[in-house]
Amino acid sequence: MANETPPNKGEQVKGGPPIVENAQLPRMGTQAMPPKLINGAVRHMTVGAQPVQGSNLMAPVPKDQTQQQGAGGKPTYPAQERKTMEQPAPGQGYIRLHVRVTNGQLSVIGAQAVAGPLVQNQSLHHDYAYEVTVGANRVAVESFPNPAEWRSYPNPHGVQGQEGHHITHAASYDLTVRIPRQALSLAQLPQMQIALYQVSENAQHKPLGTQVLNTQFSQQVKEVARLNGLRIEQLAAPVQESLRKALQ
Amino acid sequence: MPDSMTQLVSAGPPGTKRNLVVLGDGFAAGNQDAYNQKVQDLVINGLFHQDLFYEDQQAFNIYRVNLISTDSGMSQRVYDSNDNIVSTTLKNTALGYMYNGSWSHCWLEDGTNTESLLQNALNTWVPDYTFVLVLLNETGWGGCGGGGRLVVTLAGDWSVIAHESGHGMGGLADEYCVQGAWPGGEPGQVDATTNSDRNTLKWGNFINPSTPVPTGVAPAGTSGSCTGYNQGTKPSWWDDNQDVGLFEGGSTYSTGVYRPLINCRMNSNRPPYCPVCYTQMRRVLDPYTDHTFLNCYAGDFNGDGKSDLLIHNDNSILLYRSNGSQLDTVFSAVAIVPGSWQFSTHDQFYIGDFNGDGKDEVVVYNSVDWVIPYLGLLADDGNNGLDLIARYDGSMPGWQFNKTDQFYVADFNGDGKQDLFVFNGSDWSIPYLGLLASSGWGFSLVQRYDSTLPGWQMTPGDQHFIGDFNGDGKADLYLFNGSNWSIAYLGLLQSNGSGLSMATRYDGAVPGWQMRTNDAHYVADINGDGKADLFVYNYQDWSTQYLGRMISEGTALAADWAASWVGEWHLGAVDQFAPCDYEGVSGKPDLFVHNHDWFGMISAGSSIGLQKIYYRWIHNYRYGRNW
Repeated sequence: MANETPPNKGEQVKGGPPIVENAQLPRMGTQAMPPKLINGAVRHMTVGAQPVQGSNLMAPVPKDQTQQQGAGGKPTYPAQERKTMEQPAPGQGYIRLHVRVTNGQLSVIGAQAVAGPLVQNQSLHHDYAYEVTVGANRVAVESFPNPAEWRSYPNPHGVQGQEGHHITHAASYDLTVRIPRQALSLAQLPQMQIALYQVSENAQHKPLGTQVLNTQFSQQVKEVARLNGLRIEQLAAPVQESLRKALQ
Repeated sequence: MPDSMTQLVSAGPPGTKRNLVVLGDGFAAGNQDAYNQKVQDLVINGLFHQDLFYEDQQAFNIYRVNLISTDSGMSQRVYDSNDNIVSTTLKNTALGYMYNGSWSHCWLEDGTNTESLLQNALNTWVPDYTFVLVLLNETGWGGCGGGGRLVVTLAGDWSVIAHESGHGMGGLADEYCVQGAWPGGEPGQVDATTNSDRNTLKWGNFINPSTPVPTGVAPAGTSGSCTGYNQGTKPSWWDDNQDVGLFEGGSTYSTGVYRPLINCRMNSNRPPYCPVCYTQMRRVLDPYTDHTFLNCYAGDFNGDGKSDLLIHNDNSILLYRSNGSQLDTVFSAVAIVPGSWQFSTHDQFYIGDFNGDGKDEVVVYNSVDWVIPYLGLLADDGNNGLDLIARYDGSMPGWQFNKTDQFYVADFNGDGKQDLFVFNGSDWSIPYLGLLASSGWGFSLVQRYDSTLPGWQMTPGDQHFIGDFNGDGKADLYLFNGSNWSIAYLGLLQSNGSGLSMATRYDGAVPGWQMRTNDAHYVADINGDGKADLFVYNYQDWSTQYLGRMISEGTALAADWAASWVGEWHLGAVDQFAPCDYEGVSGKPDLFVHNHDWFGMISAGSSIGLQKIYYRWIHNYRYGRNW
């Protein structure tokens, strides 16, 4: 059974008795329910206006409020004015790390803070994925197609050998790693690890558990590169500055 | 002219969406209009008006960055047949790309500072980016994609970008065949395989049992072409773009590897994605689209007698057309429709034929997201979509909008144009009920009740249900209150065209149904006698779920009920219902039933039965389903 209601406990039987799911509740009967007390008393509906009271009343109905058709076709209206957005609470938002992969080595070459919530993947849908951990905890994961692969458009002029893509694999390529702001602090950077995996088809489209990828999927993910801790003082000065600012 | 950025589609916060950034290179100040038009044609009117991209617009923020190049046109590089550089002609452009016109050099290449210029532009103009499309001011053919980027010239159209997006967003394989035998093992992509066993085939759930597997086998010596349906006679109903089988040839190779379809977008660009690729793309985008079936509205938007469907999610709407047995997408809008109405999270939708043209229009009200409440009237735009024809900002004559205003669609004067009831029971010192008559292009107040109705004392918990229960052509009012009094009440107030009078009031029970606090009512002419009846659903107050019918006999009701299951659908607490007539059969009403992830089509005339069920998204697979 597919929808969200928990499955019934028994088979439905045509002409059988109704299934009692909660015996504490009464069956539907044919008589009116007894009155219930409101503030200790029975309050039956009575007909007749309540006295108008209070000062927060609508204005009286105007005598002439006939709707007139506007002249000159469809009207246009100014943009609706949105209420001022509430400021996000401290710690909301996410960090965007610009990571370069060269010869199996990961290096952080840029960092920015981005306001607002971050959607995290609940399963892997592609053949590559990064996973960010702090200690034993996963704090971010995202999958994507092979980031090293570049394709040229096919040649439309029927040149033999150029009917398809010309595919090359870059020796150096970039990833964008997104980490929820509240999951990372400056002090945790030395414990942060970023792993890049190649993901087999058997690990794709399956719900992610709480375990790290190479535990949950074992042989189905193959590590391509790993950054073991980030020492902020070793980053380029502008990156240090932007990362400190993002994590403040 | 300084550089600038314009957000073309604003679907939501960047961390919850896929962010597509379009940048131009080689466009001088005088080329910016041409650049803007090309972006519009290629991306907004091109790619995002096609099937899946149109349906899933809500997954994307789209940014257009206008970078002003000093020179117009691109730097050029020429290679000889041995890949030696013959010449390089440099121009001063914003990103420094060079066009080389060589397939084996990806048609174009970075200049000395291209990477840093591009990163600087992205970091300057957009908060985040997932996909980057760079448009070169170059008329020669070419395009090069990888790593979330696609760099193209002016020569290609949306279809090439759609195909490339299959690679870049969906990780899909090519499905064309330009080489000989497949050299590797099982490919990792969802649309390529070496496996020909129906029982373990990765897309086996989409193959009709009557379809042979394999469906197409390459004749000996095949090289450079894909194989079609050659295992038996291709059925007359077969659709080369939507019927799934197992065809030899794929991933650019002709033999030893298979593709699911004869002709998918991953083969020849222009056709829609096949069911296998479509499902992969929707899976990938689903967390960012974040669509649910929680806010569904039935309406006959094209006047063919069949109820269509409007779905609202956050700042987007989708319209689906019914053909009598299934629904297909016809309109998708994110953020705004012409006129203008800006969609937002707390929009409330009310569907009715407010101008009497035989097609339903949409009233939308929002008293939460803006500094004042707004009410808009949206009508058919002549192209399956909607635009705004009237808007009231803050109030209309005789009625001042307030936070908890509740609107109900009703032709209470019988002039063939739907009108509105409006009720507010909590924002003022006394409850108010207004009757707003439609002129076809707006509304005016014809009657307002302050505190009481004939035979009924208004309280905040009043629930209103509209229907012509006496069959006189004027919409009447069912009024239920299960919470403010010691017993539940149901009143039948009939309309005389400009006011209401009490026909019957039930105190505690309708014959055949014992009224309870959490009874939920839905109006429909269940028995097709021209008088509006009530479905009533209660999952909270009894030991099981009850779905009942209250049949109107003019000024009185008679009730019966069923319990627990409708076909595959287990009635539950999360279910919502929308009475409709998607079959377009007079006197045979239907129900849409929906919750967060599921959508069902229930035929509900003489008996109640489930006709169609969808999970997460509405797509009509020729065979199989996505769960």
